[in-house]
Amino acid sequence: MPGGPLAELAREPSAYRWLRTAGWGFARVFSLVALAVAWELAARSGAFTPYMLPALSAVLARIWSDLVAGVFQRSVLLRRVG
Amino acid sequence: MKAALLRYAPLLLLALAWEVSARTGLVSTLALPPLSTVVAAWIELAKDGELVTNGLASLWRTGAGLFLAITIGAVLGIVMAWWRPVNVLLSPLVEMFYPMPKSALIPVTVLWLGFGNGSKILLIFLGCMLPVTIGAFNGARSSEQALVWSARSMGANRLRMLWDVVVPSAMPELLNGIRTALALSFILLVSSELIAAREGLGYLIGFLGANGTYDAMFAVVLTVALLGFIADRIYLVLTQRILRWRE
Repeated sequence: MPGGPLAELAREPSAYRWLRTAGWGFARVFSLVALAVAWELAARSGAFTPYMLPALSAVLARIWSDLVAGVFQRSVLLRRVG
Repeated sequence: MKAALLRYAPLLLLALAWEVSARTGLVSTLALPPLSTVVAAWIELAKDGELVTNGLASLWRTGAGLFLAITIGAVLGIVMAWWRPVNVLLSPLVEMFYPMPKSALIPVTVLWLGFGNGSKILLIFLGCMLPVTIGAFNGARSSEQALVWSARSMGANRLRMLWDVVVPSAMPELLNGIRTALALSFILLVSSELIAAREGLGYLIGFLGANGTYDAMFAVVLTVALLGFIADRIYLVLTQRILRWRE
């Protein structure tokens, strides 16, 4: 058969190639999403106290409220907070 | 002998400058006690057994954390380099956690595992694993393709190729990663013991500093520096032995 693996790749239908790229892209994001979901579920399962493992949603809500209040910006700029 | 003297001459000069600047009043003895006083305090601490008990506690924590980090980190890095799905799944996590300052996790590890050994070992493990993983990954990825093809053409299966070709190729980069991890382990150990511990060299530094016994505090700081230096020297000798086959 003329051509090597590259020629074979070139003959691959573009839809299949697109699906494969999208699949690997999804897999890249999957681990981060899985970690976030596992964190949220573990925190909500009651196995940990909110003190030991607060829910991710609670952490994100806190980040947002601190951002809105300007606490984060002051900390980043190394100014005195409070 | 002469070469060794020349090599360590800057250290001797530094020691001399330290002693002279403290004795002449160039620097306040509160900020920098004379080196001779520090050495005397070191001897006292060693006689008391404080240095040995706290040093052993620290070395145990470093050793355990580093052992876990090297074992799990090396396997993880090589597996990530060898199997693409594992790499695709784990590399986002590695990329996200690598730049994070691990000392920020001290309060979290203390909250989870308390003031004892567990929190320090976990922190050292978390901080040292990623440099090892990245070293192993880069080393395994850079293994010569021609060698892999040769092994394959000689009928080696994937596991055999991994063990006979990829792991030896990964060794130099992996060993570099472990050296970085070794230095990091001492940094993390002392910072975690300074903040939350009841024994260990970091705890001793904090305790002596809070009590105003600065000569003893400096003695412990020097001990940590010396331990780090000795560990690095021993590691370099080991590395040369392990990589002797390349020469």
